[in-house]
Amino acid sequence: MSEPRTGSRYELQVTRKSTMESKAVGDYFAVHPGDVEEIEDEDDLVGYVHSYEVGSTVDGPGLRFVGFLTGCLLRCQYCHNPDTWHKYNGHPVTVSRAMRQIGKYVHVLKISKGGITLSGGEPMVQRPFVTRIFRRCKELGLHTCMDTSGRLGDRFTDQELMDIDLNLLDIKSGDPAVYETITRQPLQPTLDTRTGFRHWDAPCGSVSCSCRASATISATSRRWPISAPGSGPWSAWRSCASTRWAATSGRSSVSNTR
Amino acid sequence: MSTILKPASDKSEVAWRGFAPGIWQRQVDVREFIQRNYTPYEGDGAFLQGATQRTRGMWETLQPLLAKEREKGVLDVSQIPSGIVAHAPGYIDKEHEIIVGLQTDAPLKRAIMPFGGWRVVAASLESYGYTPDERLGEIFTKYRKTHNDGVFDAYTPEIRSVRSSGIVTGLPDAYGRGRIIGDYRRVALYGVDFLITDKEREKQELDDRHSTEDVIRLREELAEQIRSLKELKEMASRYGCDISGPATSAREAVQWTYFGYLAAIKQQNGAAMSAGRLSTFWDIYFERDLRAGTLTELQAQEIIDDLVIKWRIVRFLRAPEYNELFSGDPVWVTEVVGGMGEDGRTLVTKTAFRMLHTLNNLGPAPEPNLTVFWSPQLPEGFKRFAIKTSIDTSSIQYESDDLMRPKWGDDCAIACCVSAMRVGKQMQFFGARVNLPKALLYALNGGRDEVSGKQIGPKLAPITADVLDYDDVIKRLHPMLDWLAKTYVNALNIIHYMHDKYCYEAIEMALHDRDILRTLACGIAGLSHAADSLSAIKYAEVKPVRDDRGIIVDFETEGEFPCFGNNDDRADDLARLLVSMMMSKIRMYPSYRGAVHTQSVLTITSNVVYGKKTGSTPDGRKKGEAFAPGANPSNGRDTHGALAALMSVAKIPYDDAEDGISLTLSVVPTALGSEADRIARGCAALDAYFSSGGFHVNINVLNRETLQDAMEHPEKYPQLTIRVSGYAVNFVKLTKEQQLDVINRTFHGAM
Repeated sequence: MSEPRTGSRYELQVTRKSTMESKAVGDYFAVHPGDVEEIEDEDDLVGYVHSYEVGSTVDGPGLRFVGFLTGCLLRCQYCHNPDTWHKYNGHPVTVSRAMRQIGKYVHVLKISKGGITLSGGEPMVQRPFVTRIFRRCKELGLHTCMDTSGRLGDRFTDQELMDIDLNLLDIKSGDPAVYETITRQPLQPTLDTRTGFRHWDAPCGSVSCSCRASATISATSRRWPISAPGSGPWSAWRSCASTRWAATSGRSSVSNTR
Repeated sequence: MSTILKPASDKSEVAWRGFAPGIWQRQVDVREFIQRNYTPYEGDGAFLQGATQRTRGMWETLQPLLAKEREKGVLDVSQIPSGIVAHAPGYIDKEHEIIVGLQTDAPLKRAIMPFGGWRVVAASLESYGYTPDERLGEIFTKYRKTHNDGVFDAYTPEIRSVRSSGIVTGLPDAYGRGRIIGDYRRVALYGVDFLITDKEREKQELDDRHSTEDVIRLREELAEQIRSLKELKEMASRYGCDISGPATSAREAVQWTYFGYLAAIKQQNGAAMSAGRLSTFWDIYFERDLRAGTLTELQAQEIIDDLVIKWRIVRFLRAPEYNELFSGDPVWVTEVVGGMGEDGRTLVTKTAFRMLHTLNNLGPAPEPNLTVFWSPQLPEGFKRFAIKTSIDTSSIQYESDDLMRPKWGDDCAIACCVSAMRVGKQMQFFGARVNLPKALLYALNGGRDEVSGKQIGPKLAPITADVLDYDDVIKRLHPMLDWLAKTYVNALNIIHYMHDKYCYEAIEMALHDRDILRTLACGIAGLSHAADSLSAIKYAEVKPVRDDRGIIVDFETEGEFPCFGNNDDRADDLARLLVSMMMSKIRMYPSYRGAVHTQSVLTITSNVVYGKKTGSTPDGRKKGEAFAPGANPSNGRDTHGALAALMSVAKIPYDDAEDGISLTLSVVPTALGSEADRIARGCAALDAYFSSGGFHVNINVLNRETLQDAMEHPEKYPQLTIRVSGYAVNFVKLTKEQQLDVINRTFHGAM
């Protein structure tokens, strides 16, 4: 029996487009064009989603509907899910399809004082899709949250940031050299994003956070060799993420957002 | 009630001092007494006290005995046929006990109850290395007929064949049906003399009625009830207590109530011997004594702790077959706490906290089966306390107060796992369950059993197509379920007729009204596999594989299909359809004593033995693999986290499963987030589930590794408790198969 994909966590996809070529492109560690290019804003546009999860408790306040989007520029040494690096590795999903799925949980997300979180990958890679989803969620009265490395923060307009109640900005290291060693990307764009978020702190209640000390990262990167994508201990990541969230929750809560 | 009684006035004046008067003083009405007198508590658990030196000592005294029991399976057996006054009084530590009373003359010594069936008793004794008493063997085979004998006298060949093929399993024809909750509070509130007078009145009212079979039976039953009440009084007096009048203090209230319960477990070895809903009732006495300064909080907790120690050592002698169905030696001393009243006040009292707090004071334990009636309206302090205790001990189950209250009122309790009933006003005829996936396979194979090849069901044309067609399968499923429902209800009617006749629960029924509501509690197992199989047939391509007998024994499934447990209506609708379809068929066949037909989606631990007897199913489950328990999604198929699974299960209609829908959820501790947030998130998840129509959930908060380690080193985990399916067990007491089944279940890494 084949693995049932429909009804599984990957089921959001609408069609299986021929994305095989882009998957097959040479160096897996390289940044592929699809990982950075802007998608044209169009009606019922398609985003690329790795998977989604309902009821997460570590990706924002309350219970969360978490969409893990594909596409990321960072190549973190300790990345626990390199299968989200390339956008076209994800499943194409329309906004309306995604909203139908989210819609099933509006009641429970609200009652648990939770909401929706877009994570990745790097959600900023898919700006039009992300902003469309957040807008629709705000219309439903849901709390919105974006879990981001901030690498592409300059893509977002102030208006678009208005729809995000909470930004979980993950700064892998404050030291530019360490940052680059770990992620293969420069630190500065992330710092600029933080400045941008801070600018918006009062009106939109975003917070930025930095909680992973470089010492921790070098220790963990040795334990989770990159040669085995996805084999990193899931629960260890979970507790790491929950620490991260705990670090921010002291400073912000849903109640201080709009 | 037409006649109004006067209680023994001098005694009751003292006993009822300070209570708000009402109708309850003149006729049996415990609910009215509670409503007029209880004090809702909306605070937190800060007032609670720890275990005293005495309590800890008492629990310690039992530890070597419990260790020895774990080793041998049974510590000791008394071969005196059990009854309310059969054994001399027994104590753990007579000097220091606050609440007294054991089933036999020593702790953990099990009694035999041969009225259910001698063969079962003999087999149980032999399996633990005891030689059955020959004289008793002669009495119960030659001179006295038993329930088991009666049932097999009346069984039809068809019933015998469905029983042996495993499409109907676990029928209470060789063990006590249980699932009856006496209103043990009546003993404390009224005293036994008042209750005897009331039963005499009930009996006299029948004197003018023409002696039809129904009336004769009722007269005989009432006579039995009165006799057992007299025995109850006698039993208590042997412990030095005069319970002819009402209890005068909190300690007496708990003790009197416990005597009522003790009489029941001395008389009956029922599959579930539940306690009811006691904490709010007792709280009235605790409050009165605390106000009067005759009791301190420490003493109040001590009384509850001591009672719970007694509940924890209730034991029955049971056969190996029973252990297969209900693994881990459960008794189901189910005690309900929480809930909201019909008038909008919460029924949570301080004693509800005290009851849950025993898990902290004495450590986790499977008994009593602590059941919280959850409503989003419950006070926050109580919600948080319950969830915290759940996270720490994995010993609590939750049921929807908002679904039960409109049907059964605010004074209902749970028998066994999920069966709600008005206390003292309702009972059920327990009916185990039928095997739904097997019924589906019978529909495909024209009534032939896929394992044995025998013709068990009606001989219909088997499917010959190469690919299964959904509409065709449904068309064939209807007559198969019709036949199954008919055979099933037939069997249950026989069982309960004979149980009433040969093994009547006199003391439990003495603590009921005469005219009660009876339900015929049918059930289904393997729901997720049946639903996923239909989904595979509908949404993917399923090719049957036939063996040389022409029987479909396996399936090749190609393509994708949605699975139950992911909040996907395509699959969830099929589960809903199956539940309603089976229920409507069961309702077609008249029941014994006019019982109302109900149905549960609950397996207890029989999901393992059911799976063992069932061939491969179209959802990809292989022959012999265990079913998912209760209404759980199939292991590993619920891939969207716990919340999606909860939402799917919440769609199963309670109206067509009024005997309860059981879900067991295991989450790893980190799934609830950081320690500080866990409680709030747990509360949020339960609010979400129950406000979406969910009925029941067991919550286990633990890691798979812990269980694996406990399998290797059981001695390290004597108190490790997990919830399995409507009850909790000591994990190390499960059979190896059951342990593996639990370990293989989905552990949600996220809510």
